[in-house]
Amino acid sequence: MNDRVIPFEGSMHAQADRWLPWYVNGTLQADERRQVERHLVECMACQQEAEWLRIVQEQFVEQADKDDVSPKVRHLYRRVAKRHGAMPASSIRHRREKRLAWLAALQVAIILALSTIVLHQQQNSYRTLSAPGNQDALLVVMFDPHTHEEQMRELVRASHARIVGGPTEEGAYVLRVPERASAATRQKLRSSPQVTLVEDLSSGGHP
Amino acid sequence: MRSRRTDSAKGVPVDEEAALLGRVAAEEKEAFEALYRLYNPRLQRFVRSVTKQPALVEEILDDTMMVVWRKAYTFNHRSKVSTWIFAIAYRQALKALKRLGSLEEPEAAAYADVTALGPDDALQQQELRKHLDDALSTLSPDQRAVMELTYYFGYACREIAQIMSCPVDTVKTRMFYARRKLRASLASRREAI
Repeated sequence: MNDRVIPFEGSMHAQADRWLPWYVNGTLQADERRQVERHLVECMACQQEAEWLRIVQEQFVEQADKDDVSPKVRHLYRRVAKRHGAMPASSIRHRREKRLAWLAALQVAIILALSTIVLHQQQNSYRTLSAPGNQDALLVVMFDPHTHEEQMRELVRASHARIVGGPTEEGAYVLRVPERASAATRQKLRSSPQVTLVEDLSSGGHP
Repeated sequence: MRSRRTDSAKGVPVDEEAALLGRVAAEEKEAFEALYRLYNPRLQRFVRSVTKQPALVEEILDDTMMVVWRKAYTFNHRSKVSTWIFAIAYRQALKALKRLGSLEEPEAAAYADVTALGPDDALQQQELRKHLDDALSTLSPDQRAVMELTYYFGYACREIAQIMSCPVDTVKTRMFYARRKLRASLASRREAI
């Protein structure tokens, strides 16, 4: 936008004239106010201008008194309140902290999952040929902190998965799913609003 | 004084507002809601007056409060909370006008020297009472913002410069042209009658 700035170092009249709006609203500093008052005593044009500006101010104040915005405020409040729940973190620092927490959680979950795999392999070495199949995939999953236990159980059940590890301190779980259903399960979990992270760790822990 | 009345419209002292914003920075939702209730009427009035686009007001207010929520931690206490929030609202209003294509270069007439207009008489003052709102709509958003912040919200020139992120002399210039244009608008209405 064009802002041709007018220098105001001119005559006392010009300077007082530029100060008048804030003389009228009472926010000039003491020295500025004294200068304007001294000039007003001898300048009829500025006296008239100040009077006109007082009328302008009165009109604004009268408008203020007529303003009734409460219904709109209520409406806006509802809108913001709706979005409020989904507000992003308020700072880069917080986002970074959350990211680090996630990475830490993932790391813990991976360690946990690898431990499970090693244990699984150790157990496998003692399995008989008739033991249940071990063609399973392991997923690290994190649920939204607001997810109820019942919702979590239902989601795991619907995904044909079993929780075999967790929760870690950060809330990560290790889920075992049949290998053949692994892709569909991952997709299902990722599309769920209750799930914040899905990572495929292995295909059953086999090399 | 208008500024004191609006600044403490809900009886909240300036330092308590800063504390409230500090709690918003710590992501306390209750504090955000309190700040929202405290500022919404003022921001609504300001945004409506600057944009003259009622359809944009809600969106701009939402955007403003979202920025307040996200950026509260950047408040550095060098200005009043109200100055900081109004600055955000002002920028959001300009952004919205730009998106709408309503933020155009002021027409040449906006800078015409209309000081030749004579002093106001009683008739012109009556017209002002009747037609202030219409006359304000002839001003640019910047000029309306200066008028609004001065006369409705009672801010000092330096505070307005902070809100509008511009030098004090720019505020004085905008006010100078706003006053002249307001007079010209009222004069043209008188001639049209």
